[in-house]
Amino acid sequence: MYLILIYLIFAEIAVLFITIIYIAILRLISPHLKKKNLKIQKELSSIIITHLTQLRESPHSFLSPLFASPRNLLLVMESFEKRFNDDAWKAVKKEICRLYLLPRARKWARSWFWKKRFFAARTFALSPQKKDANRIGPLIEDRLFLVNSLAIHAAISLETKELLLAVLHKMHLTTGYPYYYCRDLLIQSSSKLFNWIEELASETKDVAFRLTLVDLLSTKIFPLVHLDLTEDLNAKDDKRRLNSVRLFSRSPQPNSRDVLLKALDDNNDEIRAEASKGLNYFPEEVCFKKLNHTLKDKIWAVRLQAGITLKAMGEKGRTILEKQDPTNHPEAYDAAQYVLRFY
Amino acid sequence: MTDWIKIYYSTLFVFFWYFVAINFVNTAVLLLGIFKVKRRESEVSLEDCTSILHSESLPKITFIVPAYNESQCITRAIESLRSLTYRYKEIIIVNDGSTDNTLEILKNYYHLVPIPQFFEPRLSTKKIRGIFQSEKYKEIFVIDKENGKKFDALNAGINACRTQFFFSIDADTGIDGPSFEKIVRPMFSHSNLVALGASVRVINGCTLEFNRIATLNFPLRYFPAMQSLEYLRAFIQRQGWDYVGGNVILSGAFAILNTDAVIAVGGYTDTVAEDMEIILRLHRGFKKARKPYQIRYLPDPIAWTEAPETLKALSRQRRNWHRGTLDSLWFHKRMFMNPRYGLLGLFTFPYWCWGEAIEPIVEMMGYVLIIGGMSYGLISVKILFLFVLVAFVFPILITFFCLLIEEISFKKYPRFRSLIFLSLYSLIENIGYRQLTVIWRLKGCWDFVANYKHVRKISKHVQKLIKRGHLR
Repeated sequence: MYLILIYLIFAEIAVLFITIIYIAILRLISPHLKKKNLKIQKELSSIIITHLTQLRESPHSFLSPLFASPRNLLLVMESFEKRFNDDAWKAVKKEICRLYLLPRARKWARSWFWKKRFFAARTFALSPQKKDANRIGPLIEDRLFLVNSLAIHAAISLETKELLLAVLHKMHLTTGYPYYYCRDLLIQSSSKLFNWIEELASETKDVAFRLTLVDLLSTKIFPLVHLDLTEDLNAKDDKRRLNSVRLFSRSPQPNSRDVLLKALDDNNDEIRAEASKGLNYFPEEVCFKKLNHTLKDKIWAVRLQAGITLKAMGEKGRTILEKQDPTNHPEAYDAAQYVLRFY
Repeated sequence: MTDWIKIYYSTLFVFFWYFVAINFVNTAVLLLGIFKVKRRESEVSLEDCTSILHSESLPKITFIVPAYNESQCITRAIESLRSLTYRYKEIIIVNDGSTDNTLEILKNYYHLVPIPQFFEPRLSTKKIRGIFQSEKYKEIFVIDKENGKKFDALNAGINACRTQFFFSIDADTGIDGPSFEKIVRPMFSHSNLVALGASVRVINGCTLEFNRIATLNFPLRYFPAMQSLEYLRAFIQRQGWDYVGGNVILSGAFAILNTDAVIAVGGYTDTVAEDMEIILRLHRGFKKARKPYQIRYLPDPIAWTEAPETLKALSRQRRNWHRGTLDSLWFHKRMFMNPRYGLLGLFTFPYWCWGEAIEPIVEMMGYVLIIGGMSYGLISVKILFLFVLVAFVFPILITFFCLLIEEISFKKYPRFRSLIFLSLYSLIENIGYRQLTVIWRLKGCWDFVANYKHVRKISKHVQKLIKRGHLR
């Protein structure tokens, strides 16, 4: 038994030792690799800058062997993309991507290794082409966020209905950060995409999918043409009602005032708070009265929002807040004083 | 050979097996951890977090800072949180009946004004004396309450928390801004995430200014240096535990927890290791309710905390930590070898019992046996050599291993001088410092036994919380 013990101890020490040596070798090599890469990136940058400053368009200038280092080239291109947006840069970018990055990206789009797929997604995000749509689609479904997020970026830039649908389907099946990321990208997209989103929302029968689409539509002030939300406003599901009230609150429509006034009587406090927020766009007597009443709501968050909206509605709203009675309605008074002090 | 000598050698043999087994588990866990560390490091280096700064969709987060007599460092801690680039945040400082001028400092520095209570208390706490909000920085709230210890302060903060996640942060801990941005995505990526931990490092010897590590040096003073090594080792090992049943502790200095989950299991409870106890209760609660959940650990070094610099302060801390470990394991003893809790119950929890809880007792007995054996001439060169291998060489190798993992991953000590000191201190760690920690932990064991009545009382309370838990 002692022998077994000794062998076990030596085996453990041997494993540790070998791993330590491996890691030590890695540690010794990596600074040199890093230096070499930085040097390549610096030279690539100076070639590109020469093109941009001297407006040279000849493709022969891009035949330097340095351009054959795809990862370094992509890093440099991405850093230039953050700083330049003019026609000269777009022309240079188009040429370099065509010659060096896109062929590699197309080859690596279906790779087993996530870093290669990541490279492909980054390239498509940098220079999205309609003919790469069939490669971008599968990358949107990639299990890794680092890959699919960039593919989504490329898809949105291309502004095609099929890719938009793929992005929206991906979005509605995820929660948390990937959802927020997609949402942020779509918020910044054009009204062409929002028109399609509205069309999809009016056609779809899938309630969960519709929720996602309505949520997106509420992120911008956008006139609804096709979409009818009557069913959602009267739904038993709180989330559905909240979603649609939020749309009317943040993207005022012709019938928003009536919808929001009705929503102030909803039994869900989040919906009442959201409705209070949206009345900000309607400085009318009936709205002031209703908001004054909402200041006495039993939930702090609702009272607070009513107060914030009243204050934002100008002198009349402010007067209502200042006239709250601390004796008869102490909660309304507290909320009013809080808003007057902090907002 | 007389019977006594036979018994002596048999006992020694058992001790050797015990330490070989611990070393084996530590090695396995480290080897598992290295994959995670390297993978995470390559993700972190490739990820572009600028979208987080511009996001209009990300939800709010809350930082809860329990403060008891923290007049020296409270504003620094709050400024560190306030300066984070993540826009959507609230900072709740819970003044836990401080006897110094912590509250006055906060009132003057942040122009605090009293506000009405804006929340319904879901966890019971000591009496709240007042709630304040900063006129200057609307995201800062202060809850002033009667003293009820750290767990009570955290519960008061949780009552006021209106966000999905809260960060529990000690008042002497600062956050590295760029590293913080990198954990936003993992935090929000899993819908069933219940708790998320990250690495905590020792700030002694470094300076943190406006959420940036301005100077990064390995501490030269003996006790902070030893603690730096311990923290480095512990946080790298915890990566491997994620693959083997899960972690049983997230650092109390910095942890991210799901508000609803913590409330559902009854909030923090009265123990010195409330950070470990809440994690075990979350494991138990979710496993009992058969709800999917995740408790994860990231290797990113995000939080930097002050380590005790004096023998007295360190000894008190370690004594409390060990006592807290014993408390938490005792409260949840039903998990021991219980297949209902999966790998956690069958492997991780038992390891913590025999590999951590009773380890100081076994180690002390080992020293006594070896020294006693040597004085009676029973220890041969072979046995002594084995003892040196198991007790000294192996732990040094483990520490070197961790140093190298640090070197190829986050490399928070880039200076060559720091690396030299790290290596030197790791060589001497097992001569003197380790034995001190054994003594402190033995004292912690004694405290556990001496306060057993209180432990039983809290244990009953914890079982009630588990029964009452409304995770279904």
